[in-house]
Amino acid sequence: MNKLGEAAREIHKSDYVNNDREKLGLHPLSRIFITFLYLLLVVSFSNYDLIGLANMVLYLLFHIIWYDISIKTMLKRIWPVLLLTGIIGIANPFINREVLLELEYVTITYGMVSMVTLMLKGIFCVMASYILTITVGIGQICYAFQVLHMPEEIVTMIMLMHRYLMLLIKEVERMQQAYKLRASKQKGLQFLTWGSFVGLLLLRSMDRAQEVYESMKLRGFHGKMQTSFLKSNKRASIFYIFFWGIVLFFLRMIPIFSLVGNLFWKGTGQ
Amino acid sequence: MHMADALLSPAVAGTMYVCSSVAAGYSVKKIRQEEYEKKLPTMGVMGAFVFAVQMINFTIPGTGSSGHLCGGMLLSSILGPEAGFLTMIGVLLVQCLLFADGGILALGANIWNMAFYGCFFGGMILWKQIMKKKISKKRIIVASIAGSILSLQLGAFSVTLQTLASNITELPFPIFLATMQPIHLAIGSVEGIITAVVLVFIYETRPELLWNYKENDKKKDRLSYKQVIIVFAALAMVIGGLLSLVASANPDGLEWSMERVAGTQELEKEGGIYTLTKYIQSITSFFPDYAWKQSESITGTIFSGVFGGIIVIIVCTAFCFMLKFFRKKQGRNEKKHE
Amino acid sequence: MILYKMAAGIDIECRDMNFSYQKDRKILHNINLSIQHGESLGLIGANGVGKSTFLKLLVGLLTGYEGEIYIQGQAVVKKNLIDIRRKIGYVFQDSDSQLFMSTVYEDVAFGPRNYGYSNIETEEKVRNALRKVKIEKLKDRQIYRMSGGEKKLASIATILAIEPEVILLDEPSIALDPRNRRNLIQILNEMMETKIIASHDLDLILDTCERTVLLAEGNIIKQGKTKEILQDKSLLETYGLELPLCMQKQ
Repeated sequence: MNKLGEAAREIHKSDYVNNDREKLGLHPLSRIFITFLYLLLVVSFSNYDLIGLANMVLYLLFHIIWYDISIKTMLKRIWPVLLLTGIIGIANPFINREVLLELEYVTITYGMVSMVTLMLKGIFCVMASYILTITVGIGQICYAFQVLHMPEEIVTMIMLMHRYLMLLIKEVERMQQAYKLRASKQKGLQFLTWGSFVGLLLLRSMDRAQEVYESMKLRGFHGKMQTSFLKSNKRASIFYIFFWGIVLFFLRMIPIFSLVGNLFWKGTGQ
Repeated sequence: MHMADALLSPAVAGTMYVCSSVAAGYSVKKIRQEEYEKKLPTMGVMGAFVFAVQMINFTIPGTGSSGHLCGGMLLSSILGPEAGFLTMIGVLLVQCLLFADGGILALGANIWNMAFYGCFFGGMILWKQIMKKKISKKRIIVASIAGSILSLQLGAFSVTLQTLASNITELPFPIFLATMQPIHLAIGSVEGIITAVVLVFIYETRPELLWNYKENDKKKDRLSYKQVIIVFAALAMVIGGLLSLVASANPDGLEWSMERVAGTQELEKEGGIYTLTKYIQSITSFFPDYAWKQSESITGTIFSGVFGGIIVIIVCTAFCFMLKFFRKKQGRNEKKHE
Repeated sequence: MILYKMAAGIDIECRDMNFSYQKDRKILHNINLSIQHGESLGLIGANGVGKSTFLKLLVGLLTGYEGEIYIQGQAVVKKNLIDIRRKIGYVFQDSDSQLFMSTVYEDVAFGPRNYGYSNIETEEKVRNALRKVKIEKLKDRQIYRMSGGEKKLASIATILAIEPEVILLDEPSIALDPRNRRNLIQILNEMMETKIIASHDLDLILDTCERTVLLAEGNIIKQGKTKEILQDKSLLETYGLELPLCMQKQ
């Protein structure tokens, strides 16, 4: 039940921290592009290249510090994906038992490495997406979609959806509270009420949609919804793309952690 | 059933993006031929509706577990398959951005697995065929349940294929498949029942909202809403009983079936965890002397990697903070000048 | 454009207008009404007498009426709707339906943008509209974070930004606390446009409208000076209304 409340809080948060513009004035497209590149590079690491993958943490580190993102809320996000990748990956250590390294009592197998790599990939991807959402905001992401010539219908629909998300979540929450007050012992929604509970909500939503349509129509709507043009810093955006583009490729290609380590850890790694 | 970014290789993710884009392009083209101005607000609000409904726990009678609604089938039977599909894209996109359910890279795959089958297979083929002659409660029930089960089966099958094609798990294909499909059968039936009761309710109250509804459809329908509910209650009990055998409060079928896969392997006999506990026991009694049995170079790489990593991270963090410090200082100076 | 000849200074004219959703059940019948330019008209009546229906007919959201409706000389028929809707604005009862964009600025700018104004012109119009309802500060506020009163003012601003000559308000004071209500009344009184305010909040009507029409069972029962109608206790009670609170005390 508290899922709804949590969702509401998430939406609140994602609207608040839209502080990208104040800082550098980056065009949302540049942020989306680099995030996408980052995700692609992260998943492109081989299953056993744990140390290489670890390099990619630097991108996250930089953005977390630069945008003052709270690690605590971020960790909350990571939990589900950790579970998912962990569960998928957990078969690996049992199936692939080829030994990579043996210590006195511990054997590290390729399967274990691939499991950890998978989980780390999951964490990095979620963190990168989270950083994007929380610093750019859905509204600006929609604006970027418009620039990318995504069909108007989809963009308009997403914008409307984002607007009415909170309203409907609140409505369901209220309905659930009213339900709970009269059926305190039940955990979820009882079977007999499934149809009418969701059905009534659906009817109300359809009525709402009709009114929204009328309201749009009365203000000259003809299938297209525009968002504000944002003044973005072109130079900074281009610089951002080039800088991070190069750095990310660099991180992907060069195992910088091992290289730096070798400077101090003489002899063995060569 | 949301796929995460990490579960897909770039090639598979890209392929799925292409597939989903083609379907989306087709849908956009199709709805442009209709009165789409009017549909847009409906799609937006209904997207938010599905989003909110997905968070409701539906208690399955006779068990402690609960079911959830995914919504593809429900949407396409109200808005039509194309508009339903586009709406589901919106739902999945917002989910991935706001709640990290699924990922940005995996969006293409998720759209395909969770929206495409429900809307195009369930809505366009099944619903349309079944409602061809007329709409009735019986038909609604059959279409909803069959549509939900089949589209979830197809979705689960795609998840398996995509995961295997991405080469991230070393599970053999048959085992993976054998766990995914039955679990999604149960999830699909629950979703089907929820969809059916909701649609029957709509049919009773405002049938004109249903997709493809024609005026003369609503004549005397022999089934009353109450009867439908009773039939379903019995059905749900049976399914609930089956579900409780594998039950959990866990809504996500993918996670759930993976858990079972892992469970079927003998976890503790000689695997890592067993050795690890042994190791921890030993380390508390005496400090063991490490014997490098494997080639020296691997250990070297690992240790230099870890060591190097720590140094690089510290340096970078310091660098970031310095950058920030200077920027703030600059900002303050600018303000002073103003 | 063929303009219907009307007496000078008349904004809205209804002649023998009938309307029904289903054939056997008439919602409105024999409505004859004309509204002067700059006038503020109260439309009162109990729940379900057709106040909202009447307003929706004027802006062409409902069609299929019998008789004639003219807005500034133009008949309310499908081919004129684009023109008419620039002249007449409708403020919905539920602000959440009226405000569908994410921020106040975006929402108020929606109308001007659709009518093809440039970014600079749009900004100017938005600023004016927000100033008129005194919520310039809320420009960048997320709509779902606003209170009911703020939302209502923002909805009025979305209409003012189109610069219509007639504004229809459907239950504007519903769910407002006393302070917000007072504020709303003040703003309504400052608006120079022709207004029709449909409400069963009779105190609001008393404070904002010179003329009032009492609607019941689909008919205009009485029209005349607001004060006279709202003092008529027996008339109001016959049609399911009560004296305004300020008059009950007297």
